[in-house]
Amino acid sequence: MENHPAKSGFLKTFVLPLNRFGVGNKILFMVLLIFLCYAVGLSLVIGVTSFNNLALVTKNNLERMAGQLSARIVKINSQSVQVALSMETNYIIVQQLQRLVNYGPYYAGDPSQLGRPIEDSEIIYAFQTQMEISKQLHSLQSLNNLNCIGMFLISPFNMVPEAGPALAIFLDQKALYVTRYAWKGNTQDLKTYRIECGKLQFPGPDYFDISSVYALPPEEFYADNRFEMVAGAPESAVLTEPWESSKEPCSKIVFRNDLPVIRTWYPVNVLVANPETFVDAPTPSAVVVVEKVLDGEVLKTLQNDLGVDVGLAFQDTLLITSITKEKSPQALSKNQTLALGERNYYYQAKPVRFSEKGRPDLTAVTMSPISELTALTKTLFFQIGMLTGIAVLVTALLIYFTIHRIVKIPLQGLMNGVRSIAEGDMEYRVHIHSPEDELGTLSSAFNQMGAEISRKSVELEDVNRHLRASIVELRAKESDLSKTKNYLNNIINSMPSVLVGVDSAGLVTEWNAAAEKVTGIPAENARGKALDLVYPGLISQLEEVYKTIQEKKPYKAEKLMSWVNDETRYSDIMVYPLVTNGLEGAVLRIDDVTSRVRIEEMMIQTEKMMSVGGLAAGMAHEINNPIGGILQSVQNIFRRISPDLQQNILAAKEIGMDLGSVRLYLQKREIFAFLEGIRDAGQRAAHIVSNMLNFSRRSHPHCEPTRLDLLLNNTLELAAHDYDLKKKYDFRHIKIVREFANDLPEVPCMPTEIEQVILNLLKNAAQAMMEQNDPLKTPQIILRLRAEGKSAIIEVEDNGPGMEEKIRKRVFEPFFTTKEVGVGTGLGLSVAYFIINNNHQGTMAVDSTPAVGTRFTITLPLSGRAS
Amino acid sequence: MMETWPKVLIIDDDDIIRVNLVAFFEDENFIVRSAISAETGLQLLCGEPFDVGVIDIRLPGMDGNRFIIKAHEIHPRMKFIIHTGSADYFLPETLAAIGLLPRHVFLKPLKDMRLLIQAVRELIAL
Repeated sequence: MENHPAKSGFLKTFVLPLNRFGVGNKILFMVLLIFLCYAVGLSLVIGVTSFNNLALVTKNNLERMAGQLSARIVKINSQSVQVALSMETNYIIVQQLQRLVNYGPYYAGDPSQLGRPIEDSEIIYAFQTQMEISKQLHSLQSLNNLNCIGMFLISPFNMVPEAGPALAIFLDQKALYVTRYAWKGNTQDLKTYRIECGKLQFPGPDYFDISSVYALPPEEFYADNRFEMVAGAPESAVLTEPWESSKEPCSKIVFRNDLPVIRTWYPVNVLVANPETFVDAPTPSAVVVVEKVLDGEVLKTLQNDLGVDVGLAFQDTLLITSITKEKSPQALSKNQTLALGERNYYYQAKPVRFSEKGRPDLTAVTMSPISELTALTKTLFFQIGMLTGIAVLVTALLIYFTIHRIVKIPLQGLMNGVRSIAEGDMEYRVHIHSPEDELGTLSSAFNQMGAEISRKSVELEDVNRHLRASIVELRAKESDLSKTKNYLNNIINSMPSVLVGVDSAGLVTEWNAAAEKVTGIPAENARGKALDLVYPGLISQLEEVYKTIQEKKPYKAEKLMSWVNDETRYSDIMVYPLVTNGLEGAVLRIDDVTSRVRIEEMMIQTEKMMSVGGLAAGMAHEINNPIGGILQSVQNIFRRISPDLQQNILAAKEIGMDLGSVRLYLQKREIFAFLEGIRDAGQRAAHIVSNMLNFSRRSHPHCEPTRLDLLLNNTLELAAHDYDLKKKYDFRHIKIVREFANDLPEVPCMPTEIEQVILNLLKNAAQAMMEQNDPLKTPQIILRLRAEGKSAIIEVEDNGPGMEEKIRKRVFEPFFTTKEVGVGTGLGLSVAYFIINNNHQGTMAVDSTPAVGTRFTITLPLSGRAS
Repeated sequence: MMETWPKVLIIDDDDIIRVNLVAFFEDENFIVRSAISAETGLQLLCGEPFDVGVIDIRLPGMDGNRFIIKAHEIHPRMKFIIHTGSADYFLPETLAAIGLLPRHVFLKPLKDMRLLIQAVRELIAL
């Protein structure tokens, strides 16, 4: 499980990208990779081995050098030893020492003299000798490059038993120290004088002349030679070594300012006369001390000589090296490496022995920086790397060419074949290089395959051609289908009818634009909803819809009434079952036929009037004659009983009768009233007939342009004078409001007819308002006149009792009246309606609200009527 | 004196109408002759001239229109008033051509015969 991601990572990173290359290249790449790994491994092994070998060689070399260094240090010591030994062979020193010891018993020859002050001459004598010896020592020091050289006089044969080395001469590289006794044979209270090397000037041979030198007291004598007295000598100028037991020169290491110093001492033998026997014998008379400082300079010289970094250690502590100036003592570690400054070093150590016995005096150390070794190794590594790289490259090239010849060329041939076939050249055949091997077999198989493909592709081409043709045909059909679908959708949506499709469950499947408009519900919201939810007006028809779907028989309902915004609307509903394609459902077509119903109603109305008119026209002649007879007879009767007519009086006289008496009689018997009754009845009948005749299609006088405002004013005046007819209404108590537009053009019409209509409306309004008994309400008629589009509008509005809907619907019917019998004929509004609709091509409508009022609206075309 | 009184010919097949008109015109001091048909009227015209004729249109036999044309041929100076019961009566061109106007057409029933007298007087005055 855990290996899996790593493996896939490896695949992704290294193997998969190879798929881009050819097989030959892949093999080559793998070979190169293997060789590269091999080269890297080899270089690493060689590098590490060589580094170790080099380290070993270096260490060996360092050890050998350390031996040499040790020998060189011993040699430096032997130089000091040589200097010490050379004292006994130095004539001047020996002579001077003899003078001091033999001839100038020097403070101690005579024990009786011990402790007594020393005479001035002896002080000067000793000084002279010290200067002679100093001169020799100085040159020896310079010659042998010694740091210090000194000489301490000792008492030979222990002549002064308690006296230590005295009358010392000590010369270091800074100053010369000389001492003298204060008392004879007593080393206590030694006086020490000092002179800096720069001031030192040895006195000439004539200096110690008696006459000149001895004239001075000893202290001034020292001062004259620029010596000054100091409190004590430096540490190195004191002899502490066990000189009595030393027969040979001895050396040891001491430290001055933390630097190792080789200190060599040796008692010098000179011939001294034995005070007892007076026989001269070589006797130790003075101890010579030599110091050689092993400082940085010495090491530098040694480094130059040996060609390796060197150092010195004392008892396993590294004291000084030629690498750094600073003295930073550090212990030598066991692993033979140490750190100096910022670098690491290998080191080797060898003991330095000044004598054959005892512990080693010093340790000689040689060092080599490790970084040098590393650099060397790197160079080596690089060289090996280069060499291996070249070898790998050459091998890779050899393999590449081999693979190229054996695999890649045949493969390339095969590839070309594949590519050619891929590009469509089915006739391509591969050249077979070697028919025996696998590639040869593959190539011949490939050629066979090519032939097969060639055959198949011809067949395929054939099939493709057929397919393409089919596709083109299908596309064309699809396009046609799409067009048809759009066309059908357009048809469905362009239809003014509401079209709704429902499935067998009564859910909406189709919803056209008209349906959206009527319900206000968009098609996408309506689809899938129950029909009664989205079209509440159809609830009453739901049963029929389901029935239609079940029985698969169309259903039709006409002029279904519904109320929309307090208005009666009529709809025709048709339900067609869907029977094709197994789609259960139905299509509903709903048409708003309100306007058609209204027109039909109007036409029926008009038709009624026309039939009345026709009837009237037919019988008018027959009725008018008798009516005429009645009316004219009554008129003649009235005339022939009138006292104004001369013939009447004459006729009465002829028969001997007084006309006045006749008239009185007639009056008494109410004959006049009956006659008037005949006349009124006749006139009423005549009026009815003439109104009925209005409905007939008779020829009309021409229309004339009329100012309707003047016409209305005129009519109002007529109405005002008409009030007294039977006192049914009183126009003077009615408030008349005129709302006339100013800009109304003249309207073509028949003024008398329009007057008749308006007068009728005004009378009706007045009569209606008389009927209501509301004293708080002022009766009011508003007369409006305005233009609207291509029509003139006349409105007559009253604030009377209004009408119920069922009455309102019938007001234009002929003979329909709400008035008492005898008050109205029931023809007034019918005639008005007929005049406006039929004679003027206008419209007439009535709106009414019970208890609020009634408004009649007349529209007349402005452009004149089309006859 | 009597001769100066205008002479009126009334033709109407309806007796009550004719009798009433005759009575009314006589009371207004016109010389009145009446006929029940156009043919009878024409016989009367042949005997004597008339100033004005008050003619019904729907008559048995010859109708009023033709009578007026014939009468006009006999007495070109004679004037005519039409008194008809046909609501849809239309004044023919031929009658208009001999000077008849719409205001000379009276529709039955005529409530006030004074209108007729007035029209006749106007015609005579011309």
